[in-house]
Amino acid sequence: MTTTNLPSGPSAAPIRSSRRGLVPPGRLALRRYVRNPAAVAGAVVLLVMVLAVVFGPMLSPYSPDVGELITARSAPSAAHWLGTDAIGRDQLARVFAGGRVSLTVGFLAALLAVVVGTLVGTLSGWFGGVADAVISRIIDILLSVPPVLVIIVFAGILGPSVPMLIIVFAALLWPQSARIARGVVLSLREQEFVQAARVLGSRTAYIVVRHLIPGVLPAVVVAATILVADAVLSEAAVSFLGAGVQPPQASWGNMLNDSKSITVLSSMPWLWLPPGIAIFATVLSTMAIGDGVRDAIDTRRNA
Amino acid sequence: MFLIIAVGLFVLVRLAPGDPAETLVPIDAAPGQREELVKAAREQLGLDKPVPVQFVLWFGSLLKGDLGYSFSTHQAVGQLLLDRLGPTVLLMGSALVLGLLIAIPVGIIAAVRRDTFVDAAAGTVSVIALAIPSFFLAMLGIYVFAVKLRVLPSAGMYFSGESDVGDLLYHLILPVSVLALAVAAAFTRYIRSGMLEQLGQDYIRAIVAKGAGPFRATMHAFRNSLIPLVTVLALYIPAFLSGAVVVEQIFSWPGMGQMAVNALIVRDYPVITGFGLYVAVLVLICNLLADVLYTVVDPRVRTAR
Repeated sequence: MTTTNLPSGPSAAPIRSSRRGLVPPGRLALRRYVRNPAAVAGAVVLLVMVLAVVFGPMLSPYSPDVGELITARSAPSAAHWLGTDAIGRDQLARVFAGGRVSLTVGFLAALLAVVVGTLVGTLSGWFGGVADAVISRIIDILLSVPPVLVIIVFAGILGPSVPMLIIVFAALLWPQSARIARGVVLSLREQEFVQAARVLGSRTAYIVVRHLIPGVLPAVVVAATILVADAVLSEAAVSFLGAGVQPPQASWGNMLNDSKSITVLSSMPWLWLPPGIAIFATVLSTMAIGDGVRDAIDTRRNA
Repeated sequence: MFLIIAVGLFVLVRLAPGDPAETLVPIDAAPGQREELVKAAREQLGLDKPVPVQFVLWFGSLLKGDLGYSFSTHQAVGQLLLDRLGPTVLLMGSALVLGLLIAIPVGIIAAVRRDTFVDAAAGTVSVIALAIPSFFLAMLGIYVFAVKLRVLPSAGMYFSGESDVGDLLYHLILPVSVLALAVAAAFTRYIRSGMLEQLGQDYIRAIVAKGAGPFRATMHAFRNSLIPLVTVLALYIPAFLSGAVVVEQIFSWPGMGQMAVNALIVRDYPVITGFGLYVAVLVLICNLLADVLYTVVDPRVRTAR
């Protein structure tokens, strides 16, 4: 029963009756999700993060890129809640600005990867044959290509840039969702309702959009949370190495890069603790959301 | 496959903005002399020839194992990669062994004592360890053990230039621990789910019914759960290298990662290209290894074919 945690489409999420009658599976899943404290905490933390990076820069009186040298390297105070960095820039404003970049890269790359991966995986699983074999092989190889190292090589040759980060991450992350979508489609295509749709003469496009994609979606949502976590971590790592987001533009990764000297490390923890904690909290909450969604839609677990 | 990657890398290098010959000549060279120096550097690097000729020359020497020379240090890239391979392999190898030594018992116990406090604790710790960026963990480690407690060194391989095994081990503790934690976190999950799958099988019930104790039954399940693990391990190595690159950077560990990042900063194309080829070859070999090992460890796959 634990061979796989993936739900196998709508048929695995039966409409269950309660005292008030039939409950739609979506509502049922939501109810299970809300009962999971870790998942709710994850959702709350991520929401706070997103709100903070969206509205924080508007509320902050300081610019993330301009500093005042007089107040450089000051410890957290009433004026600068998280202190200031080596050239007097407000650290809180930089954490907000950095979060914008980090979360944008993470979410855009994951979104792109999920859309491409779901389409490729679904079609590959549906049609099978030589195309499927070739795509599966490509998926296998790409899955073992480490994004951070590819970025180092690309940035080393073409120069680092934010669009490149998003494209490379998406290009290397889509196989994960494609493999999952393909797996679900392989089991879906043998099921009666899909067979029936075929016999009734539905066009392929109709079956894919109406029957396959909805079945694949729950599993893909779970995969998407992992991709977001992966992309945020990878962005932080490459920016930390100097191959990602370039200063003066802030990102959580390059803020840590700025503070890896032993003086900053030992005497100015306000410069490196906040961005590090921000990355950690984002990744952890995304993972908690993914686990929560998986448990909520997987009826076999706590039936 | 290899040829495609080689062509890809070469095209990438040619697309690169900036002129390596320009960067080779110091900015503060006398204005009149500078252009001549750049021209001389360009000729020396072979950059004055047509692009296809450059590719044939480059690929020909590549097949002979000659990866060109570093723009910045003028060392042979092949030799540079080899020099840096040792420390990286040492770091990754020790972390992998340590991580698996933690993951195997923890994963087994978590699976056997499923849904108990031990299982939940192992699960929570491994999720946290997976979510924390390795460089942030490394910084915390340096802060606590090198700055506050002053018990461990924060960087390098040796205190002085001499090579001393005790000294080396001392410098290995922090970076290896950081990396090993990531390995342990990932593999505890794999081992746990592999074990759960095996423990649910009929043959385990048969063994227990025949009177085997819980320990023997667990060992049977463990041996079988290793089969998928071998593939996972082989495919994990490239990803693990990127973890090592980050950790090397923060601990000033003189390995491949540090070399690649330094080359990135000064735009040392031959070194970057060499590193790219190395990564590509590593990924291909690990994929091949995963396929081969799978049939080696699981006799059922062989008979099925």
